[in-house]
Amino acid sequence: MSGEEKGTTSGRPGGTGILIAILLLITVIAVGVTVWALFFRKTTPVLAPDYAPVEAEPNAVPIEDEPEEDKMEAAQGGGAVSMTYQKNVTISLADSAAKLMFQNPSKSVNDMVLQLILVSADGTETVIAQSGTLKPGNKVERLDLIEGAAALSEGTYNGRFNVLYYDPDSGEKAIVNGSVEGIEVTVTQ
Amino acid sequence: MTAVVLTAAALTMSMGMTALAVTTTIEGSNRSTKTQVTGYYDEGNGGGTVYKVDVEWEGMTFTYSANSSGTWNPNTHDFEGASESGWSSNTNGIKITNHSNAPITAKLSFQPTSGYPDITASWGTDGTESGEYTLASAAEGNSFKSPDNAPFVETAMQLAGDPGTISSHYIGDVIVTLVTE
Repeated sequence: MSGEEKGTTSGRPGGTGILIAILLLITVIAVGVTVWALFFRKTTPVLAPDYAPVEAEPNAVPIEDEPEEDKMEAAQGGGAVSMTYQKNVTISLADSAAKLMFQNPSKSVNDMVLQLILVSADGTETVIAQSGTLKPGNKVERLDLIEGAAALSEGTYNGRFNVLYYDPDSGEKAIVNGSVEGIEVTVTQ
Repeated sequence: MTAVVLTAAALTMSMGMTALAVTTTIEGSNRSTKTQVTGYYDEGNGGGTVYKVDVEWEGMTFTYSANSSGTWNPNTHDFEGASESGWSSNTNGIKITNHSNAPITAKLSFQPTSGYPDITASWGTDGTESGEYTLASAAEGNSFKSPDNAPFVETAMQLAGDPGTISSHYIGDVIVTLVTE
């Protein structure tokens, strides 16, 4: 093969090589980001507040038709709560919200903060929603999801409620706190 | 070769993209298409399980007493009031009451703070209870139509372990875990 034929056949070998190198670099970066996002990205845990949030839960509403019950009595330094709930929770990805039923009846002494937690098969727990302060006599049937807390897809998940109790006067977190296991979370579009 | 590399790169870059929502549109009289129909069962307002649980607790104040050889009594030439180290409390009670129309299991646990990792808890007045209690449904037996007779458990927490020098009064949390059936 003559030199002219060789030059005609190969065109601009330098330019093509650079293009391939750039594309390979982009490919490596894309693979790295994907691997990190799937296996190594850590979700920042939502810490339980030591003091009750100043803001009341915006989605909280008064409990209707509550039966008349005597206010519970709390021992000195102690506490007393009543919780009413259902174990089924539905999450709407379109609304970015959880639909649930959780009440802090009027007879409770303590304020509450409710966390909705998803439990994965390996036991990893992720807080996906957290209420503001829920005072006695109020219920919540919707909680806004924490943005970026978890990537969810349609289906069912195991969950639990973390229920934090707070002194109604000082706002300080109580020594005793609650956890409700067996929550069934259904995710829909 | 170039085409193969370019194709592979394009496919790999698409891995990092967020999945696109797919909308299926049915239109026109001469066209047909398939769309997925999803149904959910709503059991309505009646007949479901409603859980209502009361939790009451005392101040949970504990005092740790170090080993004491007692006080010397010069009359008897003996030490009196000797005691071993340990925790004591008279505000360590917990009560859990089930008003649900289903049984629940209540599990008690103690989580020491990072400053007191050696502190452990046991349950019952003598510390021999498991800390796990099954409470019957309030819709059965004496409790049915009688809220004052709701199933309940009343117990106490005991602490063990040397705290060393107590620098903070907050030594841990009690967790009441309710397991729904």
